[in-house]
Amino acid sequence: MFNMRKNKICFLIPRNHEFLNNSLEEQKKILNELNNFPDAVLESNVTSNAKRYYRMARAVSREIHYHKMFTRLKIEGNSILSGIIQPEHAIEDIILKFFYHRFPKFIIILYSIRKKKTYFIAPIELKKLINNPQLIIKSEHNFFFAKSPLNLGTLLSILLPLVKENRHFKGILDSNLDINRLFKEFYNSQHIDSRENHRLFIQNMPLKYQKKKDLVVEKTFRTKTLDRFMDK
Amino acid sequence: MPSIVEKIRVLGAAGKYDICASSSCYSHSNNWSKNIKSYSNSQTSNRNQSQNDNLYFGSMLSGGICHSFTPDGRCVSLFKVLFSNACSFNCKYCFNKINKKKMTLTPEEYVKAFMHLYLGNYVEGMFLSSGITKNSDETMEKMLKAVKILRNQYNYRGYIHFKCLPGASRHVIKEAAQYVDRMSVNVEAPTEGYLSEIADQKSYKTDILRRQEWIRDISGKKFDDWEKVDKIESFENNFSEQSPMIDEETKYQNAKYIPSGQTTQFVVGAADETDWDILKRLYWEYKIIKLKRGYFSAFSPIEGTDLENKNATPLLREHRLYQTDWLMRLYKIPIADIKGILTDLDNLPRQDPKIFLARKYFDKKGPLDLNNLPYKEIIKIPGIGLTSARRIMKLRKEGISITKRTQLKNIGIILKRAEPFLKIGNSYQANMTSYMQ
Repeated sequence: MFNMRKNKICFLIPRNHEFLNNSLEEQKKILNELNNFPDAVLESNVTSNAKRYYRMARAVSREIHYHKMFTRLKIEGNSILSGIIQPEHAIEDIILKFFYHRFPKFIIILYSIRKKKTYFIAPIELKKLINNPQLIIKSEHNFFFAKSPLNLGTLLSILLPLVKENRHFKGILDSNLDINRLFKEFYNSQHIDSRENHRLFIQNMPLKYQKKKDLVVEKTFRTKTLDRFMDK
Repeated sequence: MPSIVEKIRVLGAAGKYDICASSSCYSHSNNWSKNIKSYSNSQTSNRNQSQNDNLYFGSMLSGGICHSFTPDGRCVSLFKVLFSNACSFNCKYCFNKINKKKMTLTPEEYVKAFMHLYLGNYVEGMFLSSGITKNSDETMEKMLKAVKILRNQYNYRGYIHFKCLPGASRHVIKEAAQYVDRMSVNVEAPTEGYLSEIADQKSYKTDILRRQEWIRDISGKKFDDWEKVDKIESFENNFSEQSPMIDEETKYQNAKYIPSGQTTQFVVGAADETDWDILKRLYWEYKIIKLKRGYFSAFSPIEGTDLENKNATPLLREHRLYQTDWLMRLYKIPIADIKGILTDLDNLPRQDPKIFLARKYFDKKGPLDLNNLPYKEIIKIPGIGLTSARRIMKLRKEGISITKRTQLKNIGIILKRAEPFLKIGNSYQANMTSYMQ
């Protein structure tokens, strides 16, 4: 079972959409209540109030984890990784930081379908080159975050000419390898017929992500479609 | 000439039966995550990072990430594709024996396919294994070439699980140990006798156990002399004129061989071994080999192999072995106690082994009060895991007693399993004996 400490619960709850839908006064009230909760009670969710807050934090934490798992990235020009996300909670910066942490040589751009905004993270050197009032920028150490109402394609057309090609990956990422087809073949090769277990699959893959646009590969297993799979 | 995609299709299918493929994460300074540590420190200390922090790609700090699930519910997290399915060994259970399409990836092709999937966030790391083409050393050196390209040329800092082939030489294992996070040698069977029934070309003591001992001797040790490490020279080649030199003395400070340890796999049911045979060997592996964890792969007959007419091992048996493995490894249940719950045929019971153990421990003690039990006794109760037990102890420290069912339910205890053993407040579940009295 997953266990969260109080400081993490207090960090995650302000990102929950239920929390954000409240008025400012209500939000302050909830945060005061959280700060006054004894650590042991909040972390073990032994009372119904503690359980409510734990669930709110858990919802955000779960969504962050699933986005780390299922956000697929496209390689653009050897220097940009772009993807589409659909978070209910305010976690765009956490996902961006996770990917930047993993791929610091790349600019990471994520388009949020729900909020209809594009978020990106890039090294601090690029900030001077960008002169677009529609980009809201927030700097942090040696990288910066930006938020924009522009769609993914438009933002890519602005950023690609400004960014130097990653010479480090030249040659290996230039090839005509179709990532979708590569993953499809790899994914299908991992299936063992004798171990087929529909209940366990459905338990592990939440319905929300089975319906996700990008997860086309996982929707078909050999000759079966997901709908038929789910009927069993 | 087959394309990379065609080779991945064939070699991925050949590698899928090797179950011991879950990623590991660790946050202490080591070979690969030194830069990551300074990155995470900078968020709190507000100091400027060096430019060298963005010379790498890949990380291991987030664990438990599955990028997809197969229709059998298994997590797809690692790029698990054989380097070659041409094998000179003749194991009776092996899928490669019947596969007529023999293919081999070049190190460059392997790295290319992996990097595309890793950058696309389709996989979490690499699991590199192979059939033994001519001999183990030659095959491992080719596999190692792919690893060196990733680590040295592209400065990959993510997870690599490297399969040590039976019979490989010590110097090859030591060289590989510098570059990888985890190594494994599959024992396949619990004893030499059982292994000879299913893979008579492998010598249990020399090809398998001795290699495990070598890996144990290297694992976790710090690089004692970094001048001998190959990657220093090729790291210098990556520098551009503008970027400053990395301080070499601090770069490999605390760098370790195989920081995530070693694992192994048993094929369950291929050689008529009992569960007790497997558990004895597993216990020995944990105690002597210092294994991180064991994996179990239920035998499934493959048409065209020598064992095609043998019955498939039920997946429930594999599941019970995993449950018992967790009880031994995480709950620290002694092996002698587990021996006490086995059936007459020395196999595990069909139901949850923890319930049988709990009946043995608590039958004569009567209903238990969670507010008075020590931690080691609480975790033995079915329905109470390690996290729930820690929560109970934390509440006790704050002076909060457990007196209601709802409290237990909120904590995360599975009441259906735990209630028969517990006294909650003043009430407890009656059994037939107490009712009759």
